[in-house]
Amino acid sequence: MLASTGVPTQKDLDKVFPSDERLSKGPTVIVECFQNIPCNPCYTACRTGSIKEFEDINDLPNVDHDLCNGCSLCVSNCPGLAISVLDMTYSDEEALLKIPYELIPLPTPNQIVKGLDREGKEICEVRVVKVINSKALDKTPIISIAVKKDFAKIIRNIRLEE
Amino acid sequence: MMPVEILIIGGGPAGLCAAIQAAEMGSKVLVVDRNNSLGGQLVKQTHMFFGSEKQYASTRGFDIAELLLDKIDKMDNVEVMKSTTVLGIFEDGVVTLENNGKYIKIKPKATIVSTGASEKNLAFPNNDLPGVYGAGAVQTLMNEYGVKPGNNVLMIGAGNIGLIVSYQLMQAGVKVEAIVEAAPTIGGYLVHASKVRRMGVPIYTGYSIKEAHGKDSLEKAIIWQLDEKWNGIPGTEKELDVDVICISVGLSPLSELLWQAGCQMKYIHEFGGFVPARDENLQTSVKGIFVAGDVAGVEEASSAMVEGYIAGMSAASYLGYKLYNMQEVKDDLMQQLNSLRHGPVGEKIRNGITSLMIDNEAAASIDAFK
Amino acid sequence: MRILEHPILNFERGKLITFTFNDKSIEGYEGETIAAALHAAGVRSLSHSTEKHRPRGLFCAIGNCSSCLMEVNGEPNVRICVEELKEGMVVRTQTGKGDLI
Repeated sequence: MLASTGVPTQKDLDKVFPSDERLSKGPTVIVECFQNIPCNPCYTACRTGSIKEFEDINDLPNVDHDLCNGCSLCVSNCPGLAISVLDMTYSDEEALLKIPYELIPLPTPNQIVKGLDREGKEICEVRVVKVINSKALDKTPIISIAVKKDFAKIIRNIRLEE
Repeated sequence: MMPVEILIIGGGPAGLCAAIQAAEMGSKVLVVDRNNSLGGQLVKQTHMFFGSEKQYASTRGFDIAELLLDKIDKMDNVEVMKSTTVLGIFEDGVVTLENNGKYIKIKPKATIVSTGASEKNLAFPNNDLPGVYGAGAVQTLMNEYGVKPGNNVLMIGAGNIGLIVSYQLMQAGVKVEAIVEAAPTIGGYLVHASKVRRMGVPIYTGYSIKEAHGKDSLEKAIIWQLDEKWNGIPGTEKELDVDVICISVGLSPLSELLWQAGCQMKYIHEFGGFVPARDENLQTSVKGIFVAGDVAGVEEASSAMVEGYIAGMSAASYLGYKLYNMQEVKDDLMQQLNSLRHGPVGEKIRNGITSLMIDNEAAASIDAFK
Repeated sequence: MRILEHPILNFERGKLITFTFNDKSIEGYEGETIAAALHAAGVRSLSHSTEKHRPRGLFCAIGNCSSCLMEVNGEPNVRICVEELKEGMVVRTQTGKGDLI
């Protein structure tokens, strides 16, 4: 259970993952925010109207995946680093996953790194596609990784070889 | 004796916002802080803040400190005394300070106490070994001076501070072996917990430390599972090779000055200890003494900032300063505070506040809001 | 023990200066506290409890807990967690409660 482990269960994740049908149409955000805390920067960062205005700042984010184009503006604005962007249409075999990553050293494009699940367990190797660390991201770089489609919903972090 | 209009004791998030608001209304403000720089614990916060835009959400704590300090710098009517400790608030209204061995007496017309809070300790065998730190000390060493506290850490407490400091330790290249939390569930925001979990740090809920071991400094920690009465269960011990134990089991308000000033104090468990009774303008039972931030009840820095603005406004208006749209500004601040405390995580805070509210005789001295 | 690279923070360290700790010469940076410099040099045992002489380390680092009291330039009971490091300082571990004169 999330409240005692810190790891969202499949049931938790099912609530925030868009349908496979939506995922087959292109990139969209996965907002892993399961607790009513006073926080709304995801809404203020969103330019497409897919993260709806909060009636109460303690509400959970209300995401319309059909309006989201996966632009990733919210990813580095979320204080909880709870947002990733998943593109299942990246290639035939691979999905592209964009995650926030606040550690050094940063990986480099084409580097093969370990893909970790939500418990930090190494699941498979993933390939770094892009590293964005612009000033606008304010030290929360966004790493794009290519992940085998079977693991795309499981991977949520990376570890560089030591 | 130095004449002072509004004295603000403590230049952390609450004190800085109080200074900004009071000065904006035209009053002369003196901010006194015992440290040699202002900003309080904000300067050690490397994570993005929660809340809404008005409380600088998604800006990092140390950047917020800079924003507030920039504002203070530009205000001619704010004077700052750093490395200055307030020694006492006396019944005739005299406040005594120490600066660099010099003893100073002042007589402020109003005082805002925003002294913050200090770390609680935890009793376990050998908890006095070098290597056992309060979480704040680890933050200070690591984020202010760039010095690692050690190499392998056991974090005690999975509240927001325990979770955030664990994450910060990993960012500084220090390994966090485990986080233990005596309660059956994680106390801090779950997004913080998920963040450290996916970096591979285990969180043991229903666990606590049994004892620490080491000769001249910490070498080992033993943790064990707790039963429903919070007693350790023999046979469940786990041994961890750690050279750092970081204690984050809550904070307790630094309220000595309020006691001395004769403010009515109440023990509120949810707020970390004894806190001052106050009215909605944050005036205590002693006329002219206002409070803001953790000393008024341990909470998040976002609410400390909003409380600071409110206390600053109340103190200035107590001295007769006004704003043309004061009621509007006050309503907005009250609304911000309410919404920060509105959700389920604010429930404890709401309960605490209710039992602290007084219909203050002194409050009648603030007529500006009526 | 120094953090040389950090993903979020840039440490702007002052001038490198030397001071002595129990007659040993140690380097630290101007502007940091004595405790930070000692820590960076690997010194973790800072004082001893007065009765049982158990070692004491840094606990609060903000001048509250008095677990780091040392003798600095001959003055006892200095809270080294908030005392700024200066060139040539003479820092010693303290025995007992410290005599003022």
